[in-house]
Amino acid sequence: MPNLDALSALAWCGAIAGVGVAISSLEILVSWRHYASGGLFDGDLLCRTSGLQRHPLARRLLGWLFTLGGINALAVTRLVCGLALTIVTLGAGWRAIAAAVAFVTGGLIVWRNRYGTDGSDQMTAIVLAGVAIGSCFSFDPVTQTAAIAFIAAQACLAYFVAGVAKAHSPFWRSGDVIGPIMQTETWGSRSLAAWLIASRPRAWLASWMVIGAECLFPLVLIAPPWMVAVFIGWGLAFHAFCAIGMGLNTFFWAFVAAYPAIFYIRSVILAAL
Amino acid sequence: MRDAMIESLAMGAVVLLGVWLLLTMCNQVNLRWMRLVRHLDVMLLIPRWTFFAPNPGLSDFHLSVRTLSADGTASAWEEIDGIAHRTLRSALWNPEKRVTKAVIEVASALAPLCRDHPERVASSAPYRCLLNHALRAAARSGRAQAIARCEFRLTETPPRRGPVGEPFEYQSAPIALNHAEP
Repeated sequence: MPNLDALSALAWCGAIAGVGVAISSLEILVSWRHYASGGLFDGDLLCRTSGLQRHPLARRLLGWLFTLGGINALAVTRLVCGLALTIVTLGAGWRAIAAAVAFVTGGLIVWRNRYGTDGSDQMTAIVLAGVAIGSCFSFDPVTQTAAIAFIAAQACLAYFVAGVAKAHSPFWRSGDVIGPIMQTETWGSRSLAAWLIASRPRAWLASWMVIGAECLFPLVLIAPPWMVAVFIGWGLAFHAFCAIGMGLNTFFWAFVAAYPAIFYIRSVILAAL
Repeated sequence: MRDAMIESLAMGAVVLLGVWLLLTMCNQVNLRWMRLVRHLDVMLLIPRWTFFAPNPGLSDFHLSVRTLSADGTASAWEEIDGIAHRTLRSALWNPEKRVTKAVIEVASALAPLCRDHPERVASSAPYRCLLNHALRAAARSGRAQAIARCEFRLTETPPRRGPVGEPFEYQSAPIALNHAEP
């Protein structure tokens, strides 16, 4: 198990999240035509339907976000912050600033776009908030630990809730879900769908592996090292599968960014027990 | 004095994170008062972590547009922002996923309106988003032709396996290309 102190844990959380922040910012920049006039994220229309029209002062202050220049400025700022965060040796003060600015610009992009946000944006925001607060108060061990605990708790909650929700679903319990998801053009992969649908026991096992691992994931905080290795190994493989098979590339960075926080909080819990 | 202020700020930050975590936990179950929180949460900071559960999306959505000439002749439907073909590279780099997700969300917002309040569809944000997008796409595709109007269509491809419901389909009325968005 990596033995991390609080500052290293925050640095690694920030560095891994920073990769995802940089990728998603670059993805926005290269997709500029979707944000231009007539695109799906046409700022002019989004501004008119945002309710900002009714508040002249807010419109004057925030109207620029809906221009093409505005979204590009947000994405470039976020890209710079993401790249800065990938430097593990960055000073705590600079890391706090980079994480805070990446957090704010990410939130503004989500608010502006309204559509097209996914769980990776939310998990990234959580990690960035934790890193920003933990690094800002790096002189205060209580606040720093609370910030790291916040990231770890949100990650464990995310896996647990996702597992319980699947366990409640008869489709998931029957094993008849992953194959059909893989058959969609949006999330799927023809070869993986064929492989899963070809064998019912295989589909059932895949379904229950996801349910079981997600439900039990919070145990990572108190489990013995070999079990931690199993959970973390499963998490890495699961997110790599989602990236390769489903195109959910930024989920990998968003969730794996919480793992250093989990390692650190685990060591704090075990030391206290 | 300064130390006391920094201490208060640190305490405030811890409380803020605690409240955020608590709200996230409350958001995982259906609490009525959380609707207000969700309404105020414009940056979507309070997640609901039920990925692909309990009922995962097993359909694809396709947005298509066609043009109508002055004499009423319709062109073939042409898909816009179709679901991008993914390769291994998409595991690292997938800029199209946001657009695909946006089309799904627009369809999900439009479907209950079409079913329950069809009179509100034309003034709704998702409809206006699609209309604006379709008008531009039609104008681009028909620049050289004498076209007067266009129609757009949002269709759901139902799952090949698994639970099958009534697939969603919405087709707009013919819209003049010089239609002014309110």
